[in-house]
Amino acid sequence: MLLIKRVNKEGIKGIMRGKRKKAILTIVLILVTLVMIFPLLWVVILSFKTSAQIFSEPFILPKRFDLTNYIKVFKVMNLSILYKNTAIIGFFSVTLSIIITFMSSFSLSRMVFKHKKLKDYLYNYFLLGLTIPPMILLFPVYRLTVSMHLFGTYLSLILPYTAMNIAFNTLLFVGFFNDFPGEVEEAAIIDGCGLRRLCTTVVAPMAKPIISTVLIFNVLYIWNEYPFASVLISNTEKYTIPMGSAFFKGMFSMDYGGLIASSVIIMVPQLIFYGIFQRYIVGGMTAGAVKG
Amino acid sequence: MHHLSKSRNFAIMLIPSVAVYTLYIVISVFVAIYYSFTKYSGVGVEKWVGLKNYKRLLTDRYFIIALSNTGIILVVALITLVVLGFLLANLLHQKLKIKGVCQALIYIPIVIAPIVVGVIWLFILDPSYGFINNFLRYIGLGDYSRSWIGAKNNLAAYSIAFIYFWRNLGYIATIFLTGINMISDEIYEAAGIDGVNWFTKMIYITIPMLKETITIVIVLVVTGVFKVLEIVTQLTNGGPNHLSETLVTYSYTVSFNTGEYGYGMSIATVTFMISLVFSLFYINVINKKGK
Amino acid sequence: MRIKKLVAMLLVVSMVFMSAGCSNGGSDSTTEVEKNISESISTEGSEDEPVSFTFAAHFADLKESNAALYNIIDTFNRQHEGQIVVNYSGSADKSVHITAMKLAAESGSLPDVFFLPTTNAVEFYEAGYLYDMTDMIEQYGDLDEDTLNSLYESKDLQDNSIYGLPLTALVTGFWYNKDVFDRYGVAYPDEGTTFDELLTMIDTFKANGVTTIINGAKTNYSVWAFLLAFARYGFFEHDKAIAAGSDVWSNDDFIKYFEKIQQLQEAGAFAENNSVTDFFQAKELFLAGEAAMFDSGAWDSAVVSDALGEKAGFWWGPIFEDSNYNQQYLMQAPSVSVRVNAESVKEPEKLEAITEFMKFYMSPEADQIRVDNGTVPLTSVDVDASNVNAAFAKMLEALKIEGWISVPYQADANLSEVVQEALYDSMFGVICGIYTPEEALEIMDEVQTRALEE
Repeated sequence: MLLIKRVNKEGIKGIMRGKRKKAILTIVLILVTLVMIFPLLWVVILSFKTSAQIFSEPFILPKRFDLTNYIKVFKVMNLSILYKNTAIIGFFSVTLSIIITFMSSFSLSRMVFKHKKLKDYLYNYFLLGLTIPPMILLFPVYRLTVSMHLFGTYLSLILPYTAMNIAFNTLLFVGFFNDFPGEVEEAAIIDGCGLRRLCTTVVAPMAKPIISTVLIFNVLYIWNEYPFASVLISNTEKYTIPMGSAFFKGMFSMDYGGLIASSVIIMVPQLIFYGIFQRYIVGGMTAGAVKG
Repeated sequence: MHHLSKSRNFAIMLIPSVAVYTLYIVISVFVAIYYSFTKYSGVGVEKWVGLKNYKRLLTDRYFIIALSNTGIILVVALITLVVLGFLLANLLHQKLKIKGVCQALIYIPIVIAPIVVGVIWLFILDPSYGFINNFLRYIGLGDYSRSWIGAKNNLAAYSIAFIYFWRNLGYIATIFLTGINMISDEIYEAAGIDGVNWFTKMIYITIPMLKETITIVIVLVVTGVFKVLEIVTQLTNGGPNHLSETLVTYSYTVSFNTGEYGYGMSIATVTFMISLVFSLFYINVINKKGK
Repeated sequence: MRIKKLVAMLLVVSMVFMSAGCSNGGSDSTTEVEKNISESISTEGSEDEPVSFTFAAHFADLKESNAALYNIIDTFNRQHEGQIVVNYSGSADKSVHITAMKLAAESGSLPDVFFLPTTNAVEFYEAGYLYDMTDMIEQYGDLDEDTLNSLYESKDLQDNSIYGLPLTALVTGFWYNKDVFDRYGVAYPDEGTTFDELLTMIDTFKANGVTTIINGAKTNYSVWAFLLAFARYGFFEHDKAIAAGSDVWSNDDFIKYFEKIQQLQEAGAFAENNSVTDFFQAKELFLAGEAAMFDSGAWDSAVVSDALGEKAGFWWGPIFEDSNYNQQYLMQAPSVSVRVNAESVKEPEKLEAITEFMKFYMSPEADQIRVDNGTVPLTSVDVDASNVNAAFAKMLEALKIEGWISVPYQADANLSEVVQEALYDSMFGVICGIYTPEEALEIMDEVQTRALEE
């Protein structure tokens, strides 16, 4: 559908000029946007229908705004526990991964290596992690967790999540440090600044923008992560948010309605989060791709 | 900085990351490879079977299906994302008033949890209750309604590819946009092609200048396809009868549902090898940029 | 600027917490069965700490999915208030539960008492995770001879030993909705209904756009009625030989049976979107009157009764006139699957507590609870069946049909895990029109051969 619009535009291109061109392009853009967000709107509409309406009259708009699905979800799905678990795991994992990747990235970009090749080798070593499919890690990480007697604890997820974020964080931090000249730091060192003081009082404040970006991106990853959570957590008391949605099957007989409503409930805070931090999210993901 | 670069400091700064990363990522890969040579049901002790699992892969009809589905998704996603992402980026590059809002909205799908994405599209693609078929029937085009998911015709792979495209369009377009924005107008002037058709400009200037961005997009899409799991699970669960399995979901189901962890790991290892080829390519490109 | 954003984020988070907290505050969340059960027991003021143990099964919402078990645990907890507490924890469905038990066993966190079908229990037994319950049951249970014998006869893991108790007596077949039949003037099915008559029914339903048989292929093990009907084509005359390697799945009888399933599919008996529906969604559709028959079992009698009341019916499936085997098979086979963790019983207090519970579990009192909640009793003692729900009453009637006997065990019960999965896949493959009968059985043979090689 999009392709047809493009071809049309090109054909008329030679004739149209200025304002009319802009008008047509605007319409095209609006249509594209609508098509893209339509599925989200559809789900919200569906969530206000009763389950029976969903399959007997799938296409009709709901006559009234029926809140039964939502009420049932709030009653059955213990949202506060889901958010609590995700928050605890997220907080510790993100803090840990930012600190350790900050340190390793700083040393990779600023510190002088005796063997230059070692620096490149380590950098590539970390970057390789970006491309390892998580699937191959699920079972080994589970075995690892079991043998370390961590199964079913918060740590069982905190550590893998930290590990998964190292590659991306390294990419962003190293890119940032490489782009920023180290004169301020050199000055501080000449003044007698030790390594720890240097990092905490000089470098970290300077790196606030990139730290914010990394932080938000890590949070988003953990918020959405499902495969590891499903394998490493079996106690319903420790379920994270994505698991809350999958757990819906068989919970009660209003399955369809509950499934949709729970999806919307999970989606909305994510959209709000995106709305607030959009600049960082877009910037971070783009930087991850474009920066080197 | 030289003065601070003592071995002790190196150790402090590097060891935590290296340790966690090596343990959970690198060693895990080797553990997976080890298990791919065993038979393990999830309980008890594993049994070494050598290359048996890999031999089985060659004649396993479901593995071949998974391979071909992953291939279809890869090709369709690549073509749609690269071509349409690029075109969309051009559109967003134009000085249109609403482009900020539109860009922000188009970006949303990648922020939503994949599992929610799967559920959303289930209600759009379901042959009986989904939006598409009911819409077609409503406007009298009922003949065009298809079993987008869940039938022998295997439209499922294309459906999954489309969902992947939907999810990533905003993201890819933004990347292209960043690249396009970096091409200054002077270059167009310098090339002396004032007054020439917009389309020609695109072909002869923009695209060649974006070679590196295009490469990165390709690698991103390829590695991203190998991470798709929840969308397929929610949509079809790999069914019917494994017809819509991808390499990732087949490995997952063989391991965790059928309890053949050894075989599942051999599938995962093969998947990893395939994605490794592309990832080495990616590292190469990144390295060139960094220098 | 950054602080503003942080504050905004905190506001959002706290709003979510509050909204979730508000709606959860007063309501009785029935999935938190642990909390419910503990709430009914006040341990404040009691002198000793009650002994507690865990019971894990595959019902996420126990009260809703298996009211019998819920009430048994609840009654026991009340009777032993302050002394013993049984903590139930559930998983989303059977296959998630089995995976969770495997993971738990390997990580040393296996629950004290847990559900595990025979197929998966074999490995647990070989790895030493299961407790031999023979002494516990024989010495401390007040079981009558017949029931006790039946536990041995169920041929679980070891002859002359009891490694598990039945979770329920599996009673499976088709629930049907009389309203749907009435609406289109179709006669209700009964024990004499033949396969051809079923085909005629399907024609009528299909012509009116109604699904005749609803099940959800995404839940691949939901083929109970079909596993039962398998007996009518000689499954139990073939299965031991197949398992020993001297017979094959692709024999004439089985091919004939799968051809019947294919005929159902071709006649349009199943839902168009069957392959993307799961069992719970299929149940929802049936209860809403969108289908004539539903492949399920006794565990759903309560919800079926709630939705359909007197309009609920139960049927064992069609008889096949071209088969050489006995047709009068019904399903009332014990599913041996409640097992005890061998580690847990090393603590004498726990052993005592669990023994007390098992005693109660197999008592006539528990059986009365079972019948009151719509599942079949486990002992041979007579129970008062006057209070049962409407749907279950129909089921009890069906169990009493003259001359019908139960299959010895459900067809999938003694298969190895891999063969079992393949059987589910093969059946649904034909149901969804993906495989021909020959293809489906060929796959079974491939899997069986591979299983025998190891």
